[in-house]
Amino acid sequence: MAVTDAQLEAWLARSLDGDRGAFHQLYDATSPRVYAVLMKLLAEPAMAQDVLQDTYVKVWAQAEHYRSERGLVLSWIISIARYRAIDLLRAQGRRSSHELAAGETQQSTSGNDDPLSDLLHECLAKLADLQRHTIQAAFVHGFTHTELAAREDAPVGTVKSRIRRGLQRLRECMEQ
Amino acid sequence: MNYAKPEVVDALAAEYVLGTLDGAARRRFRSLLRDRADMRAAVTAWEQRLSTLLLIGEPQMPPESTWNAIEARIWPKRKGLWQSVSLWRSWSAMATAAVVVLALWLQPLLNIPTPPDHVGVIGAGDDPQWVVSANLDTGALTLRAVNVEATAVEQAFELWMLPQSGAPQSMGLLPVGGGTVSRSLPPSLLALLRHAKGLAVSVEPPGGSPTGQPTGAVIHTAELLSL
Repeated sequence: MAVTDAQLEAWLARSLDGDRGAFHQLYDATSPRVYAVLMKLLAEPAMAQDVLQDTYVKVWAQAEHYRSERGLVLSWIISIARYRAIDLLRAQGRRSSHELAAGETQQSTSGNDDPLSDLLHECLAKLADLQRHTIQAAFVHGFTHTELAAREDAPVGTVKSRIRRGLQRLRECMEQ
Repeated sequence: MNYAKPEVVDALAAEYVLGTLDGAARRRFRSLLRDRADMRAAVTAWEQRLSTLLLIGEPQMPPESTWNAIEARIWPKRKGLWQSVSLWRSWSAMATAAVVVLALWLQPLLNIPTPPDHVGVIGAGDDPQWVVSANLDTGALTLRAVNVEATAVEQAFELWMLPQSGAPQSMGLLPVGGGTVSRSLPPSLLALLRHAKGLAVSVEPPGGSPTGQPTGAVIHTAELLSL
């Protein structure tokens, strides 16, 4: 059964009061999604589990900083995990050609109850194929400009301007 | 770059959230985020726009051991009475070092698990506070508080590795009150640790640095010595 964001918020609020059971429920309900995001970014289970661990320790300690107007609980937790993972990737340096070849972007389709989701997927569909794939690959798999250029066999400058224009069009479309 | 222009702020926020803002530009943007409400708002807006892209695909169940490790870090076991005796604390760092050396010597004879091959003692010379031991082949890391009382709940001590180049890498929160934390380092961190310049400890909010980089005072630095 899908857990609602209201339920996640309630567990997070109870965690703030030191309720271990509520925090465990929050972890059980959200960690498979967060772990999937980390595996796409890091590809290495030990590293993904390490970041997952850091993420939930931070969620526990910083639960009071969550603000519902800034997004869903799951999105907030994923953001914490994703920034940590990207920092690790950047510190690690260039990825192997095998990792670069991996990470094919999946078809973008909306599939949850977030109202922004439909709009995002509608606007992504309006981008040129390459723009859409490049933005998705950067966001979902954490590729740098250089890595994207190698994947797409294109100059770095071309990739940079493709992303810049794509993001600009995406914002314009979503603000309409 | 003119950080006062809204279009520049928005473009940087977009690439920061996307992950393509890199190196010095990423560090600079992140440091500005602390004081610039307009930048934080732009980041939040982009996070909200893009976040559902991450929900595509099937969830993956993490191993049970991850939850156990989280529990151990958030709710460490209470210390025994003997650990609060100052005599034991002052001897603790030396004892740990002795055990490490003994384990190294006995390991081939007794076939016990691989002992640490690196050790770092953090704290002033006559006042060691933590002992860090690591095996750079297996990635096993043990952090032991030998003379650190639990302090105010509003702060935590975070251990950082200082790579040969690039930003410090978090190695997790340090235990207090005689506690010991064992964990396994991922290969990426191990690779950096082999050539690291040293270790550092910073004071951070509970749960650790909110930015992924040291935000509070750096109170100690130490070398990681090969045994």
